[in-house]
Amino acid sequence: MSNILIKEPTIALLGQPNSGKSTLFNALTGARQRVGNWPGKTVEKKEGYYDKDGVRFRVADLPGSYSLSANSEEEIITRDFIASGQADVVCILADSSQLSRSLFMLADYVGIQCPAILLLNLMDVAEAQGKTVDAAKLEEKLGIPVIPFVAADKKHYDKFFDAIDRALKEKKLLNIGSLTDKYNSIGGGAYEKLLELMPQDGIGNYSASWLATKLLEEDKAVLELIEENLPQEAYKGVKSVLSSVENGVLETAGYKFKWIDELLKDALVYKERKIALSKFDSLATHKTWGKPLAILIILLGLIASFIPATPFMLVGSLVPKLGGPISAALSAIGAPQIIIDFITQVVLVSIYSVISMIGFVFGVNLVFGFLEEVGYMARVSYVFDRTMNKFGLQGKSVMPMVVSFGCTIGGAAGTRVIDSWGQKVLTIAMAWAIPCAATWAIVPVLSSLFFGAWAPLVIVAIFFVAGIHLFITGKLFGAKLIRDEDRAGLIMELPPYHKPKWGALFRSIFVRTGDILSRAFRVVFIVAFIFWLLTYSASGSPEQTLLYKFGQKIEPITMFFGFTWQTFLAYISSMVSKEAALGVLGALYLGGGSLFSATLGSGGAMAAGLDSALLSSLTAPAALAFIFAVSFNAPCLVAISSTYQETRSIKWTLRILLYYFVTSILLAFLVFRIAGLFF
Amino acid sequence: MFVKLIHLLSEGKTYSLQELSCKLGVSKETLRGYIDYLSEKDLLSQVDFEQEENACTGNCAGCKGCAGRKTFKNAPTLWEFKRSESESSLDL
Repeated sequence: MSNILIKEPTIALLGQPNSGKSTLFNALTGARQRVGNWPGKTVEKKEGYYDKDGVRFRVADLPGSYSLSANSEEEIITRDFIASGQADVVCILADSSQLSRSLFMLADYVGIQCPAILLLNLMDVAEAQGKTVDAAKLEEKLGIPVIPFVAADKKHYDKFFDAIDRALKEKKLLNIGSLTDKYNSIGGGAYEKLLELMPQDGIGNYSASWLATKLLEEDKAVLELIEENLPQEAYKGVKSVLSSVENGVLETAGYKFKWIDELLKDALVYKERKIALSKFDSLATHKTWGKPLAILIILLGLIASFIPATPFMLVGSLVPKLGGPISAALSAIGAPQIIIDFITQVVLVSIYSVISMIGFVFGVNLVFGFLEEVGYMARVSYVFDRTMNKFGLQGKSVMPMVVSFGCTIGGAAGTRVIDSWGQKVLTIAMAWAIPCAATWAIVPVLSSLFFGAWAPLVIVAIFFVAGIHLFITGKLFGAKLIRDEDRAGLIMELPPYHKPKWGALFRSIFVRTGDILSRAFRVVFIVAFIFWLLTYSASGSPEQTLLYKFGQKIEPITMFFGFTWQTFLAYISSMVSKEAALGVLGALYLGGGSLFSATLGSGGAMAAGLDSALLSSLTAPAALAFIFAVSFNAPCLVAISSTYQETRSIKWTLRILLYYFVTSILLAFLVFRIAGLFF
Repeated sequence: MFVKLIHLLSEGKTYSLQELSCKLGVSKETLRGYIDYLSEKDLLSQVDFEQEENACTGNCAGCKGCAGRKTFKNAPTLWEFKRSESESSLDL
């Protein structure tokens, strides 16, 4: 079978990383391999051998490299080895499931004067994807053996061995005409001129055409090689031709890709599977309709969270009614009044607040978790990418913005990928205007307490005001932060739509909801406790407490903007954490410190619930003003600290903080006055 | 087609693979081939949102459940065309 004249033929394995070289190498050599280092390099060298039909074949596993340029150590080692003539045949591996990508190595091999074979490896993966490759057609075009292959399948290597035999016997080189002809189109006939200047037989295994191509690609190593091997005159000629070439690298690459395309046009048959929801996707990514659709879906998502929320709010409202029975039971066993008050006014209020939140936290997380899981949030990023440009931001700023919809802290952290400091700060400044999940949980609770069934409308209003706020903030801060910078082009690969894994989705939402609620309970409890203490009076007349007196003093000022002193304090506390606002409201309106409870007695106040307490203490405009103020205040203390961490600027963190403080009070004022005209 | 891609990216806009596939008349796989090449030549780099293990500020008590996520699930993959570097090696 083998009339191989070479005593111990050497096979070199060439290919991009992940083309299966190691699998093949290990399958061929097994234990008969040696691992070391290429002389003077840190790159691993693997050599081995296998015996077949009485002949010993040496195998060298060349480092995985993208092509035969000289950009990395791996590529230089690979090239030098091939040039040296140590290999008798080069076995080029390609990933059949990604031929357009993996054949680039083959394109770069064109012009190497060493016999080769092409292994279309990972054929099983390609077939599973619905691809079929006509190896015979490729062989006809390329002039070298082309073998469909599955390196992992050790039992079917016979075609491989045959191909090696053939290559060693026939010594066929890769056909170059179809590619090198294209180079003639390069401006000024540069390719042909270079060809003439090259040594006719090339240098070692590098043919004249390969050298000429590499020179066009500004390959420094080849240029040096040419300088060493050519007479001065010829070298000068080479340099002068090259000086007139523009974009040689990209042009030759373009022709290589074209060559690959032509090869595959006849030889590769691919029945591309239609992606699910492709019609929906064309709407979702539409230039004109994509944005309105996204806005609609998000709004619907927010309103949909009211559905699971309502039963919880109803259950929650029952909790305060336990106040009466509990206080009666506790007094019966002789518990001190302060403990009874503590339990009914702080503990019950906290539980009530948190239960009211559950539905919204769950609902918001469910809806947006679903959109994420399905892959729609990626479309949202894509569609609002261009909007970023209007503020002088790069497209990738859209990612932190989308994340901020869930949590501003994540959004701030996400700006780490933004290189320009000015753009980073602007992105964060704008992200604060986007209400986070905490807002989307707390605000519906507040709106429901006061406006009942009209609450969803309040949410819609907040959504649109957020959009306007975002725009104005972007323009104001942008004027100071953005310099005219070149915009970087961006390619976005949208993931395919996924069928949601409901089980995993629900599980993660339950966990997340649980986490959020336990944290919220702690915050609400502590805040409620503090404010309760500050307004507690055993005699039942809160007017004597310090906080109450303080509140009365500031009320004239706060009322101008639409706040009662209680809602003002709740608003301030929302800067620490949004749920704190609930705690403060509960403590100040339901606790012993409120006139409301003083009139009804604490049991009566609790039984009536926070909604009645608010209804009788706040006018609709004041309630709206409060809700808007809380929504557009600083997100929370941790967000403020992450803003500082990311911007590394106290000045800008304080500026942003002050801006949001002022604008939220201004918004409250506007809402209060405008709503006052209608209610 | 390949050179046309370079021109499109140099304009500073964002394109999805879908769009590019249509505009250039090439398959997505071919596009991935172009992206590979440009990444190798350092003209294109993938934007890595998961640069660090976590974006945690260490303040667990104040942290909300989803905080610290720099990106969301099934997020798009982004590649940035490096304008400044390409200007030296290209004459566009």
